[in-house]
Amino acid sequence: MDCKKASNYFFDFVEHQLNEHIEKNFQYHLDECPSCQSKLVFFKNTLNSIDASRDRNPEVSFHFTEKTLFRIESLQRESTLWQWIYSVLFRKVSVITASFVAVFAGIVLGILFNSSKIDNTSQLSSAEQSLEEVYMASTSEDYMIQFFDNQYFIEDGNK
Amino acid sequence: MPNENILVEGLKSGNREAWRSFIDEYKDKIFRTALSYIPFEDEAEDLAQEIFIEVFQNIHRFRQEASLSTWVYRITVNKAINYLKKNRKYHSTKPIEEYLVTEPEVSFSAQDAATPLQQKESRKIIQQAITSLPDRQAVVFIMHKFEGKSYKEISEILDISLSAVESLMHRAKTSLQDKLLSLYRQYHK
Repeated sequence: MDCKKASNYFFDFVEHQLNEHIEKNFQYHLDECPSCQSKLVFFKNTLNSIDASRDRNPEVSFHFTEKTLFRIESLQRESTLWQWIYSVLFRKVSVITASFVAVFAGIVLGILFNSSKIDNTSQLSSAEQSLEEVYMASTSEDYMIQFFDNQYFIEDGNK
Repeated sequence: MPNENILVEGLKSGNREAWRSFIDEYKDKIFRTALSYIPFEDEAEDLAQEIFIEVFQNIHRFRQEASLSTWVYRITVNKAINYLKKNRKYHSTKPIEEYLVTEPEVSFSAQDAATPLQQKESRKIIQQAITSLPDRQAVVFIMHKFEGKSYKEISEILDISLSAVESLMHRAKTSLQDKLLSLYRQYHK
């Protein structure tokens, strides 16, 4: 076993999880390699520190509860204030919104109503216009002359 | 759990005494869990406080399907993972000297047991190595090695299969091995 291969087994060796054959070869290599011995010590101490930390019972600082309670109470006050602002605004906003909607609806209806009246008026005026034209046409002198000419011609033709 | 129900009702209604009692009961547990993820005690304490704030902001969503301690533990793990993600670049590129209390020339001897100071350094070294792991590997490794949870407990908490836990653990050990060797070369240059 060389150093490169041995470096794959430090973790399992420390945790006694190597099979017998590999463990033997690993041990032989360690006995002859000071560099890998040093690495193994580093691994052992690092991994053993995990066990040591499990046995410790670290505690938070003395004022932790008061500091945390203070933050929570500040957040509670903030959220109560926002709730109050929201409820006041919501009432006002809903009245304003309803008024706006009513005015807007009134304007839209008004526009629609007026535009339909204009259409009818313009239809009448175009009909009147054509009647006027017909009247004008029918009373124009030329038409009279033509009419009488036609009558005369007919009369002439009939003659 | 009638006591827990009363406590939860008190927390939801914002009762000061309920919150004080809850913080006093959970502060050290949360702190120790946070310390498993973060090598610095002041940062772990800040994280513990953030976890209580998170609980306060979300207690109205707690439906008591799991126990209060399981729910709080899940919030703790999630906050710790978010912390690792945010601070991974910062912590993993910190030179190892910043983690050491003693001079690098102090070496561990195979014969001597590590002193408490050396243990503290070693813990910081392993925690620096852990910050370089992908999140799920880091969480599984910490839960198993630092908190002593079984693979079965881990699979229940994280809601993943047992084989997934075993696979994550195996990959974590391989990655950590490489990382520790690289830290060793740094430490002993």
